[in-house]
Amino acid sequence: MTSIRRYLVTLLIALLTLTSFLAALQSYRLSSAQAQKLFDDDLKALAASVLAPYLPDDPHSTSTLAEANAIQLWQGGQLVYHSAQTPETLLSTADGYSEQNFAGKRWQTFRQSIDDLTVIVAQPLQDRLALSDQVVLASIYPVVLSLPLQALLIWLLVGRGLKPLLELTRQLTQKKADDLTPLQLEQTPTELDPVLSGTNQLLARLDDAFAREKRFAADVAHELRTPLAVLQVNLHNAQQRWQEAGLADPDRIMPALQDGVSRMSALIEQIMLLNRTNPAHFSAKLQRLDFAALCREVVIDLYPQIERRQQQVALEGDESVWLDGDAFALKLLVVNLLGNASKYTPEQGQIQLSVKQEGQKARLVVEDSGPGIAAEEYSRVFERFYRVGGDRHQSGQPGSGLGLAIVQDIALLHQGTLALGRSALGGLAVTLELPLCH
Amino acid sequence: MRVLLVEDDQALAQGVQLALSSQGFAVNHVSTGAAALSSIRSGDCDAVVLDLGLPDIDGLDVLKQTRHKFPRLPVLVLTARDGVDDRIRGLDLGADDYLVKPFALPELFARLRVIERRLGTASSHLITVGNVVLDSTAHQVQVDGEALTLSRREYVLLKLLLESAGRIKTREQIEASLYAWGEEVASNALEVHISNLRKKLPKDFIKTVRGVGYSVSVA
Repeated sequence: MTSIRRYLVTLLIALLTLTSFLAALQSYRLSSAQAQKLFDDDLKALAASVLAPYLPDDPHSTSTLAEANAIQLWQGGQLVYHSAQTPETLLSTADGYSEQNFAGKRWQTFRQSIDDLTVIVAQPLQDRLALSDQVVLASIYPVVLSLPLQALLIWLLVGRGLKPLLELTRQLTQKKADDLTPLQLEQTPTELDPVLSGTNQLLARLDDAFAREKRFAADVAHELRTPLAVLQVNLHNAQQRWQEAGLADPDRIMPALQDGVSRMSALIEQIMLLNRTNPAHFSAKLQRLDFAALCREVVIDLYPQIERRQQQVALEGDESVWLDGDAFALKLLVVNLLGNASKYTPEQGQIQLSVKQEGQKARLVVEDSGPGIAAEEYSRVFERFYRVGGDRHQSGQPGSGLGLAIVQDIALLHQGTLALGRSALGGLAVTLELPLCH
Repeated sequence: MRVLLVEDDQALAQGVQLALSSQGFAVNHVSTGAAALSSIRSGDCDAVVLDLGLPDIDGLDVLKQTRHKFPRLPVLVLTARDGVDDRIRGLDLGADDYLVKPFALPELFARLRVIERRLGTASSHLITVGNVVLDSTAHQVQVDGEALTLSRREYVLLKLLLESAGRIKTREQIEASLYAWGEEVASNALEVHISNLRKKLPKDFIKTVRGVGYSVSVA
């Protein structure tokens, strides 16, 4: 477990220590060079002052040894020695340190008298100041120069320290809407741990809730199917017995019961399928499939029902149309379209399917010779639980009003389009267009 | 035909048993996968009607084991399970057919009849569809009591269509079945055989479902 704070603090302290040490080292070297020079100059001056009494007795002789400094040596009121640029007047009247003006400069002087010997040494104040400036600057330069280096290193290190945070941000932004898998960081810093585990817990709860919602409908449908089957089977048996016993059913009680059971079965089935194909929690497993073959299978599956109604069905178009789709959902879509066509087309009517590839799209048209739908109802029939003419649907066919809503959901899942229109056969024509590739 | 009904819901099992008995099937009912497997092993059934939701063993495992030991025993799967996936898995594991609950009993009868005909265990060897009667022991076909003269290929073709009356047989299925009978047919020749057969049968007896296949009507 890493900590951004500990990381940054440790590294910044290390960094500052390192650069300060380097800077101190450098200023030590520079200042000590300056100090050496100072001492060397003093040594030179010392040498000059020691040499002075042995020089020729010309007080005007110039010495090259101590050009920078001024030296006067008085003996009993007489100037016995003075350095080159030094005036011949007494420079300082009292022993000790003092500041004097001569030779156009301001000097720091030191005078010492022993018996009748008086020595006065002076140094230009300007030189002293320049020297102390140099010493100070020498100690500041490395520190100033190390600042950009420190800044650069801090910038890099803070960037590194914040890397987990940036990674987390990147993962969050790139997450797809339906991706509820936990976020993962290679190394989780202490500060991000609550954020990460909080987010992951939330994602897990969300995933769980989605799964539960999805499962709930399936569970309900599943649990209802068996009791419905019991109802259906026993109703059939009762009907048989009734007939065998030669009982009349003038009020058509048995058919009414049968109708109720059939409607309930259809409704439960459709609610469940609607839930399954809801784009919010249906993750389509797209795979390459032959849509024409899928349509053929649906015709085969529904044929007994079509045949019972003595309807003619034909499938036209291309032998195979390959596209990326979810086999289960697309089959359900075609089952609903063909089932509707058969249901709402009178007996001995005609149903025609045509599946073709047109450019980058697959087009399926399902037409029938039924009564069709009025154009003003076109937009409403895709609404859930909407039935043309309400419950008193003129076909007398039981229905849930969910079939086309499911069809629409599945078309949307495949980025397809649906259009209703009038068929040359006289009834409804439903045109579905699906992109071949995603 | 002796049918083994494997169903754990008592009310449903009772109803189905009653209905199947009234249709002339001999039904033996068990409620668990283990009982089903032991009953199948004892060999006292001709077909199995198997519910996938069993209390002890997964129905699909029962199916797999049955298929493994008795590859020719027909199994019709009943399922309350949702989705095409289960059905496909069931069929991949060798179920002959499947019905999703709640199902219409006549549909169950019809599918068992198909199995019965294929097994040749039908009490009668006659398949009657409308006024066409096929006698599978005498290899004869009669229309309104008059015998038809059919080639072997035509006979096999008609039997295939009669056995699944009310349902579509695709060209591929027909070709595969004829091939299995040792009657290889070039795919462009199928139309010719169908057309010859049509001439000998009542008008519109064999329907062409354009783009899909052929079928004969039940009624």
